[in-house]
Amino acid sequence: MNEQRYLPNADRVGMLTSTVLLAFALTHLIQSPEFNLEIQLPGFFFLLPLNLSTAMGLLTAGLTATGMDWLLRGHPSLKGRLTYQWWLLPTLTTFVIGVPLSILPNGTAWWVAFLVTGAFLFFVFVAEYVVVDPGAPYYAMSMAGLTAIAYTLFFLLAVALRYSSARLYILLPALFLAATLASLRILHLRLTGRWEYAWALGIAFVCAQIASGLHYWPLSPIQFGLMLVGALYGLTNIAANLGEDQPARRAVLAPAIVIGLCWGLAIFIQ
Amino acid sequence: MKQQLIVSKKYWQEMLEYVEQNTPLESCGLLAGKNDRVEKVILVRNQAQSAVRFVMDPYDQLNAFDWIESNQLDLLGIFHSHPAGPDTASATDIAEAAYEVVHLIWSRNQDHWEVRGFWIENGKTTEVPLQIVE
Repeated sequence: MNEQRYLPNADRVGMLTSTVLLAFALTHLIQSPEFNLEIQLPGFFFLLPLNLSTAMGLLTAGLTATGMDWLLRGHPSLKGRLTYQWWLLPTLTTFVIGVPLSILPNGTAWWVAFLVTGAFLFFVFVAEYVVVDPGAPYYAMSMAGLTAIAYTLFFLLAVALRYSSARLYILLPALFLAATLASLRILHLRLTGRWEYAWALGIAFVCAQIASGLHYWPLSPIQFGLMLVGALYGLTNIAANLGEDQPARRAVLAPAIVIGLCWGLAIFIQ
Repeated sequence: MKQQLIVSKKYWQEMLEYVEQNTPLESCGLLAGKNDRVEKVILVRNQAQSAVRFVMDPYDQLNAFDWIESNQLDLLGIFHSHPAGPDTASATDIAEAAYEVVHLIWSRNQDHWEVRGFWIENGKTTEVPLQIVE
């Protein structure tokens, strides 16, 4: 078996990773004035800070989506299929990683996070390329890695938003979008190509409700992240188990234990 | 930890009147604002209705948090009174302090009220100077 055909072109994946990293580095190094979008609604004051980080975050996510499409065009098993399912998670990864990178202060910690980001992005790009073909030799490993990354990203986003004391109207849409994309991608991987939009939206809605309820609680960012990722993990696995036609009790048992463990851990740590 | 809390005379008076009105029961409420400056005092009902303890009414508290969020302010402090108690944080205050904000304690000395601010963290209290301005 020619393993090389299941791996992306090294030049292309290297160029994509370095371009995204360059965008992150430039965003960090260039200082820009901040413009606040202010809207006074009845009983509610809406303020959205717009700066270079906000704009670059969206542009970098777009760059990743188009870059992944370009990378996937070279896949021998693609055969003219649409590529969007394989760039959902990389796009989310870039968008989410941009949040902690924009919060972290300049210094060693930022450069360590930057290097880790590079490795993380490289793995996501390669893994998404590998899972295009279910017959690929690294398919199972890539699938497990992508699933773990999807949960990790959601956890990172929840922790970063909590750490930055984001307002509820910024926190909720960001977490809702991330939970939808993460559960959609995980379910698609687990259920061999089925798009479970209703489940993904339902799971994201419940996660957003929990985030809203926890918003005013005196929780640390880690506690907040653990409670939300526990809910996302549990609900996504219940959906996947039911999608595999497992009996209801069995489908719920293991996810319920994981939710209990995550929430228990969140209660006991500070 | 906050280095100071700036409270205008108007808000100081608002808290004082609420505390006097509820005596001999403990009173409580929230202080919202930006940076170190209080821009709103939100009075909260003491659900415990006790002279030695306060428990914020959860509905009042939730409405207060919603109001703070909707007005782009931050929770800067929590005040409560000790009608017959010490002018410092009690053991219960320290044990139950959950939010990282300045805790204002109103205490009665003879016939007048005094207020002091404290930062409570890891079971320890540090006094935070209160600046009362016009």
